Amino acid sequence: MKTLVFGEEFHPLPPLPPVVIIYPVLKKDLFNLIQPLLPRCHSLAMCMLPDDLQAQQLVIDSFTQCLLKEKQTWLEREWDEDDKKMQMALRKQFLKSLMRAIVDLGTRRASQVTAPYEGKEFRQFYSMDARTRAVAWLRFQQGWSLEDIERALSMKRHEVIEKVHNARFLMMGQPPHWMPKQEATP
Amino acid sequence: MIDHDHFAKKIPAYFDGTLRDGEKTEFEAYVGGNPEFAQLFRQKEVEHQTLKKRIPDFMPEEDALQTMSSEIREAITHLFKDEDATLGTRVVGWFKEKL
Repeated sequence: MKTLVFGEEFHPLPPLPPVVIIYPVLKKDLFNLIQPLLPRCHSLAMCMLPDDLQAQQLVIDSFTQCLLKEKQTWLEREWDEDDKKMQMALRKQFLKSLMRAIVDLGTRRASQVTAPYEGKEFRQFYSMDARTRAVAWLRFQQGWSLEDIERALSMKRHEVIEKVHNARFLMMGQPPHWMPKQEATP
Repeated sequence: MIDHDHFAKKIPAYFDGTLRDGEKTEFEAYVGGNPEFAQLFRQKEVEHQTLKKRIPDFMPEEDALQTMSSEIREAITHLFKDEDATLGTRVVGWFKEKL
């Protein structure tokens, strides 16, 4: 037991934090809701910036941007822990705004990266511009429809079609690394 | 042959689902009625499926996932804090957080 000495300040409780979370349940729920989106977001970020650290930073910045942008929506939202349908809808909505943030921020950052992609794999893919890479990833890797890409990235329909066609043409222009090369005929 | 080229150009649009209903029916009828074109269509279909393998899908490693998770947790914490909370609200919030 601690003996009090005259003049010494006694704290029965640990000091309070300078600011306080007033929505603790919502905070936990929100984290659980958006945390499963991380691997997919990281995969898209790696398409935009083929460097693991830069991709991680891009994901963190995009999450922060989306959370701040939609703060009011989160605060006003009615939360029901058992309503899985509502949670799925919210997650999908958040995923779309995240994809847009990653593509917009990633396009800007990719234009500042001067070092070319050095890997042997996916060279054809990384030879395309960043926005086309993002559209190709959403269309061919994730199987999004053109309408979904158009809405999520706020692009015009003809732009999406153009990028999908360009990506398809460029990627099919050369056989992938895993395909056996044809022997040259004499 | 003109028909063949005409429909061959529509193959990518068919995969993307951008053909109108009438065009789609016409296209499918042509594929169904022309074995030679059907062969070309199947070849293009295989090529379309290989596109996925030409696009990277890098999954984060465990430590990278941890780093990103803790940063996001931090961002959420900052999102819901109230700088002007009264002492009572702060104490209640602090207990809720601990419980």
